[in-house]
Amino acid sequence: MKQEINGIPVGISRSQAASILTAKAGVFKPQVQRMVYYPYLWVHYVYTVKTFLGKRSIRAYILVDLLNNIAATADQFDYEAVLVESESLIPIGVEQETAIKTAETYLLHSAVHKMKTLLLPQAEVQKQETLYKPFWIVKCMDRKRRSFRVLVDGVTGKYEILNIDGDDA
Amino acid sequence: MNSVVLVFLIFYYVVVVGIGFWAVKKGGAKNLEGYLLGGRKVGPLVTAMTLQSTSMSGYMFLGAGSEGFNTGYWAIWYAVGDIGGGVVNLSVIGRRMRKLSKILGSLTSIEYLEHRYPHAATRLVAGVLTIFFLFFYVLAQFIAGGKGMALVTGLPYWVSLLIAVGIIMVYTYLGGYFAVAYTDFFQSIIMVIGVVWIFAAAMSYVGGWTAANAAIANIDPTYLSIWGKDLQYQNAWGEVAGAVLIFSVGYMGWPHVVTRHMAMSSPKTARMAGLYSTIWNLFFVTAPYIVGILAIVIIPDLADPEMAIFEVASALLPSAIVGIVMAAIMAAIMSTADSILLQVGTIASRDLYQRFFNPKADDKQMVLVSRLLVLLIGVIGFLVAIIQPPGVFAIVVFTTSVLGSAFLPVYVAAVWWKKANTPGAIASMSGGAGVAFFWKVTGAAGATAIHPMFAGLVVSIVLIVVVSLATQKNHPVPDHILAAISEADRVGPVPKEMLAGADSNLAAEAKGVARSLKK
Repeated sequence: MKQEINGIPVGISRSQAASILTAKAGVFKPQVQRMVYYPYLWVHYVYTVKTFLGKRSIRAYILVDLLNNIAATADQFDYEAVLVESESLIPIGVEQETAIKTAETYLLHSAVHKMKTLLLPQAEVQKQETLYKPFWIVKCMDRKRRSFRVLVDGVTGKYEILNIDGDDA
Repeated sequence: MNSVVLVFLIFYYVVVVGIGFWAVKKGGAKNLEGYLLGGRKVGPLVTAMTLQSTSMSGYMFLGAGSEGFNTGYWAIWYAVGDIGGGVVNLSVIGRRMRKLSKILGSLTSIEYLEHRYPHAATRLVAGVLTIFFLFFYVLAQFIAGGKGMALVTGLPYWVSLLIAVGIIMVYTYLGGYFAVAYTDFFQSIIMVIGVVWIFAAAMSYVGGWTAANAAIANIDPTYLSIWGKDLQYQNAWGEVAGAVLIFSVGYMGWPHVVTRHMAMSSPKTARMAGLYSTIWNLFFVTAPYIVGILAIVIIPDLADPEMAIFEVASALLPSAIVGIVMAAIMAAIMSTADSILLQVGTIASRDLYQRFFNPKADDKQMVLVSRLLVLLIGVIGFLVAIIQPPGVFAIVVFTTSVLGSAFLPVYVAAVWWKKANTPGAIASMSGGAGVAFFWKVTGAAGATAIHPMFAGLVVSIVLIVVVSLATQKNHPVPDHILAAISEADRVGPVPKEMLAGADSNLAAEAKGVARSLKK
C-alpha cells in the first residue's frame, strides 16, 4: 500500500550507496537491500537576541528523532511530498507534544553552549513538520557467508553499522 | 603602572570587541551553527587549535610557571601526562562513549551517567560533586585574573580581583553578544604568539638550554633532578604516578572534556584532532613549565612564584608586546572561566533543579537558576580569593585529583564493563572523591608519599569492581542498557576501515531501524 509523506529528497542512489561502502568493505561485498524512511520532527525556530548593534534574528533548525526522542541541530531541509510503500516507513514511536518539548529543551541547551551566553533567547516557531529521511539498508557478506548490515544515509551518504540478530555483527 | 602595557592591553580588547561586532554584523551568526565558526565545516586543525587553546587556562600561565620555578624539572612530570592525555582519553572512551551517549540520548555528561547507571542518586551525587569542585577551578581563574590585572594596572590586588571577576562575569552573561567563537579563535592565535614569544625570549636570555641548566646548577643542582628541589620526591613513585595521572586521565573527570567526547561528530576529524592536539601539547604544555624553570635564573629572587611568567614577560619583552601577552593571558583565563561557569549553570539548572526540585521548570526558570548560581559563585569566589587566596597550582591539581578520582572509573566502566551497575558507580564516585579530598586536606599525601589522585583512583576502581559484583543479583544492569552497550562495542566481522568511517551521529537511527526490522 502506498502512502504520501513529506520526504527529504534522495541524494544518494542505490549504486552510490553500494560504492560508498565498497572501498571500505574489504573482502565483504555490499549489496543494497532496500530503502526505509525514518521519521523526524523538524522545527524551524527564529529567535531574537539583543546585541550592541541592535536586535538580531538567529535561525535554528532542530531535528527530533521520532523513535528515540533525541534532538540535534540540523540544516535547512528541502522536502517534498512523495508516495512511498507503507512498509518502508519506520513507525513513529514518540508523541508530537513530547517531541516538541524535546526540541525546545535542546534549543535552549544549544543556545547557551554554542552562543556561550546565559541570556534567554526569545524563540518563535516558524514552521514544524513531520519529515521522513531516506536510508539505504545494505548487507555486506564475504565468501564464508559472514555478514553484517549497514545503514546508509540516503541524503548525505554517511553510514552506521546495524546491529541485527542473525547477522554476525 | 606601565602605561604602554595598559594601552596595548586596551587596544587588544578593542580589537577583540571589534571582531565580535564584525562577526555579528556580517551575518556570520545568522544561525545557531554560525556561532561555531562555520559549525560543522570546521576542519580538524582549527578544531584542535580552538579546543586546546580554550583548555589553556590561567593554570598554564600561573600554576605551571610556579611549579617549574618551585620544583625545577620535577614539574615536567605534570606536563608528561598532559602531552598524551587527549589521545589517551579519546582512545579509551572516545568512540564508544560517543556512540553510547547518542543511543541513550544524553545531552550532558551528568545526564549520560544517570542514563548508564539509572538512578536519581547517580545524577545527584555526580551533579553536586561536579558543581562543588568546579567552583575551585573557577576560583583559580579569578585569582589568576586578579594577579595579572594587578601587575598590569598597578592597582591593589583586591581592586584588580574585583575588576577581573567583574569582567569574567559580564563575559559569561553576555558572551553571545560577541559571537564568541570568532573572538575565541582570534584569542587562541594571540595565545600561541604570546607563549612562543615568552619562551623564545626566555631561552634567548639564558643563552640556550645547556647554559640555562648550568646556571640553574649553580643556584641549586637539585632543581635539575626529576625528584624535585632538595630531592623531596626521591623514589616517591606514588607521587610520580599521581603527577602523571592528573592531566593524562584526570581530565576524564571534567564535564566539559567529557562533553567534548560526546559532541565529536566525525571519527576522522576526532582522530586527526587528536594527532594535532598531541603535536600542540608537545610544545604548548611544556613551554610554561620550562619558562618557570628558566625564571629560576632570570628572576631568582621572585617574591611570588605564581607571577613567574608575568615577571619574565615584563623583564624581557618590549612594553607593547607585554601588553599583548598580558591580554592573551587574560583571554585564556576568561575563555576557560566562562566555559566552566556555563557548564556549572547547566548542571545546576538541568541536572539538579529541573530533575529534583521542579520537573516542570520552564526555560526562563532554568536560565534564572543558572544565572543565580553563576552570580553566587562569583560572589563567594571573590570573597575566598580576597580573604585567603590559595595557590593556583594547588587548586587546579586538587580539583583535577578529586574529579578524576570520582569520575574516571565510572566513565571507563560505562562503556567497557557490562557488570558496572548503579550501586558500584555511586560507591565509586563518592569513595573516590572522598578519599582524594581527605588525602589532600588531612596531609596524608605528605605522610604516605602517595599523591591524592593515585590514592583516590585506586579506591574508586576497587569500589566500582567490588560493589558492582557484590550487588549484581539485586541490582542487575537493565537489559536496554546492556543492549545499548552491545550496540556501542559490537564489532564482529566488520572491517576496521569501515568501522573507522562510521558516523556515530547515526547510532540512534541505526538502533531504531534495527529494532523496527526485528519486529
